[in-house]
Amino acid sequence: MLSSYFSFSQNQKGTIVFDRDLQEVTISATKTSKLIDDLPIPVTIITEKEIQEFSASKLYDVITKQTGIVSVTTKTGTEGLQLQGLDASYTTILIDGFPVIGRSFGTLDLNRISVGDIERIEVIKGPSSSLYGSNALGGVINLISKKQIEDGPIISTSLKHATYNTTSSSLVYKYKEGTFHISNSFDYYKTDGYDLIDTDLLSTVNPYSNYTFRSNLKYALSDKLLLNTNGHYYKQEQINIAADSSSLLKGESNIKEWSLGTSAKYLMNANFFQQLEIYKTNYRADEFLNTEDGVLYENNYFDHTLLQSEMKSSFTYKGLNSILGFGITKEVLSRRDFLNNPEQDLKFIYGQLDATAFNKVNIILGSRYDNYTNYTPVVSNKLALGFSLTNKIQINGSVGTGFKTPDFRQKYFDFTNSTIGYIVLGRDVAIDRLDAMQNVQEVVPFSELSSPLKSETSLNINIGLKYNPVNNLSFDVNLFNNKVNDLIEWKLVAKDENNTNIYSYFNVNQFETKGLEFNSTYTKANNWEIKFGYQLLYAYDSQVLKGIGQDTTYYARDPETLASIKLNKEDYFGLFNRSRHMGDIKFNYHLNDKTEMNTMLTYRSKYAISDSNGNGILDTYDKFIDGYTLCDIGITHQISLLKTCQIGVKNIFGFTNPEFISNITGRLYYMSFKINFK
Amino acid sequence: MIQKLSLLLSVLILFFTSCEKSSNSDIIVNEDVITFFELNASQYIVNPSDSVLTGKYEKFSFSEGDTVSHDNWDVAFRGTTIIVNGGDSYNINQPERIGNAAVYIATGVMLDIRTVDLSKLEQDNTSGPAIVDDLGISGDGWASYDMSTHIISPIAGRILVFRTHDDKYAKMEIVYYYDSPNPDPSNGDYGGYYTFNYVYQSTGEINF
Repeated sequence: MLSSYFSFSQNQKGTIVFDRDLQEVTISATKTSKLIDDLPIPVTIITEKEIQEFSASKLYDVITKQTGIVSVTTKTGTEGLQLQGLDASYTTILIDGFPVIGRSFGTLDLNRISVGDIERIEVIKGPSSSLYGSNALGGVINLISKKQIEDGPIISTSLKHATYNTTSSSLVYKYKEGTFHISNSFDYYKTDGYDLIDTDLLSTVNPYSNYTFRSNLKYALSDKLLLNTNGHYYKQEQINIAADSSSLLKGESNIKEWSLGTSAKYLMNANFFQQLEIYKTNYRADEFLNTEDGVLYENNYFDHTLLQSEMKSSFTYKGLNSILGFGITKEVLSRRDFLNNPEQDLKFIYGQLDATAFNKVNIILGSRYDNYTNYTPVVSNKLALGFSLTNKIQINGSVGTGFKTPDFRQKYFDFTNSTIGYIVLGRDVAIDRLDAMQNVQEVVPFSELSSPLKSETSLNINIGLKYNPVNNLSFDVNLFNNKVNDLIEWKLVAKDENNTNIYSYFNVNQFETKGLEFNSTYTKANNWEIKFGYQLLYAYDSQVLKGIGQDTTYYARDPETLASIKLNKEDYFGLFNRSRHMGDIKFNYHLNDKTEMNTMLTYRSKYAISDSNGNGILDTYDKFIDGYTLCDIGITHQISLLKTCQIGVKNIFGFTNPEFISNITGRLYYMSFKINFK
Repeated sequence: MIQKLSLLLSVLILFFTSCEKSSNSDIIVNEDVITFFELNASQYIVNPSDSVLTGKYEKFSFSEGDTVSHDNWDVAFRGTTIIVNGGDSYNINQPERIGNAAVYIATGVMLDIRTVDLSKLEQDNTSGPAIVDDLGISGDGWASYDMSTHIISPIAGRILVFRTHDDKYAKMEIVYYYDSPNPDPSNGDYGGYYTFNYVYQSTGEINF
């Protein structure tokens, strides 16, 4: 049960497999199966055991416990994960290789994605645009569903109950006979939500329930032709309560999502295969609020469809593995506050060479060309080099470029906030709208709005060292640097006749995140295992860092006298929402053959979400949110071969920060049962 | 033992003297800079139907170093609005302007503002005050508004340079806007209280 992936994969070294059934291989990093140890790119694999250790139901529960990954509330008020200090809009999430959509403000809700039937989560850090295109600038997270190896049926069911009247249950049915494989999973989640601030009428999270149905069908028509179909349906219903200045508003907030993907794989011979994939997915969110009298106060919708078709060929010869793929995607979005329903078409082609020489050097070279209907084409490249110094030491390095196209909101938004009084216009609609307004006062020359927004681009460098002095001890250190250019931000462009501020989107500046990630694992036979992870992070706006104390003077207040003072370079803390230090310790202890205990500590150092002293930058004189530590303890007991029960406490210290951290609940107890029928 | 006692005594003295500093009286920080604590400009009402403010402006005179009720005032405050005794009125409830006061916002720390740039001085006019008053949304005024905490703070590095009603000069730095230096509006701390440092040049010279 305690197989650390290092020992496992070493047995398998030298074999490259295309089947997705073997454990401890990664698919997302190279789009082919590759053993994790051989990969010269920083990848974290979250195993099924790890997913189940603390009885995780949703991706949020497990991903936020990984080193260097944190879920933060972004500027737009939505929550998303941060990877190597990069925002959630730069991360692609895939399920069995197919992208998840539904980013209403650039982020994906991690509580939407269930991990009930997931056997492995791969996290690739650093740009993977050379394989996955836009939005993979910061990284890729791929969830891989469980495959059955033996013939026959498997039925498993689980039931979990936790604080806040949270219930989660799942039912999985799989059947395999020869080359026929069917897998259906259903899970249901329901919670009363929670309230961190008792003094107001609103809840922090309103009650909601959702269910996910996933189905997968595999069939080999012949030795050479494999068919695979994936589908899913998700539905969520939530009570929506908000407060007007004088009264309470009530409504609902619903999400419906489905996807269907099918692929045919033709294996010409042992060295060559071709695969054709077609995928379609739709995400629709509807919400409304009524006044106390039942009159409609506000409604909102968001409807996004993606159609993707891809053809991939792979050729393997001795130490050389190459893939070539091309495809098209088509996206349509319809939402409130858009003047029209924007569409976006993309044609892409990519290729990758993966060569191993002398059993010691591994080179991966990849390139992708994306041609959008309405942007300049983008080429993304990646070069990765791995070198085994000895059997115990491997040095890895990779350089890659990534990009993110402006999203639909940044192009087509037409939003008026009447309560605070401001207007936000997408870049493509701004000029027409401004021309139609009376007495508009220019703040930025309107000619600056006439050129289209450029894609954000990035350059990433990772340098890593893996050291396994002995089989049960490993060290892994990785230095990273991400530079993102042409960051898109909104800024004031004009004021209308009522002095209302009008904003639009611009490619403004450049930022940089750099740091170090360190991971170490020590396994003591079958008794216990300890894992340690740490991330050091510096994240800066490049212009601010360059200009501070030289071209630009920033001021702050002396905390004692409250008088203004000038800031130095050392006073600049960096970007908002980034903690300098993050760390975690995981301890797994086997009480006996059937019972194990897991303890996990995660720490995040201080950070700030806004500029409290009005100088536009985050400096050491700003107000920070204190660092915090969370501790989870869980016990797993194997009642019999097919029955397991779990009991545990999350956030045992009961840490909360109602004012600034809405996603951390108080102490949480849970209990779950799982039964397999064979 | 005696040494320990005297140490304790000196710590206590230090404690009490430092406490005195934060009491609500006018104190002189150095020869020139005077601090005025928590001038109450919160006596206003917002009409909920059209968001128009009404209420009393609190007038201040640099030469008297205090709030005044007569017409020889230099600067007056109501909520986040700052007006001067010069130019024209643009809104209801404004006190009568009989003087020649004007103002502009300079950038720097208090000590760096050594001279008055006469070309920048502006008076209030019928369309609005010389000091932009937009609740800190544009960042052009004296304050900024924090959307997450809802706190209005004076922007660091903004020094208000005045010509007084009788053609003297003064510079002012607003240091906080609440009835507490570390405001927490959710805890009942109230906005509209100005604490500011100022230097008044009574001779009519433009250098400080």
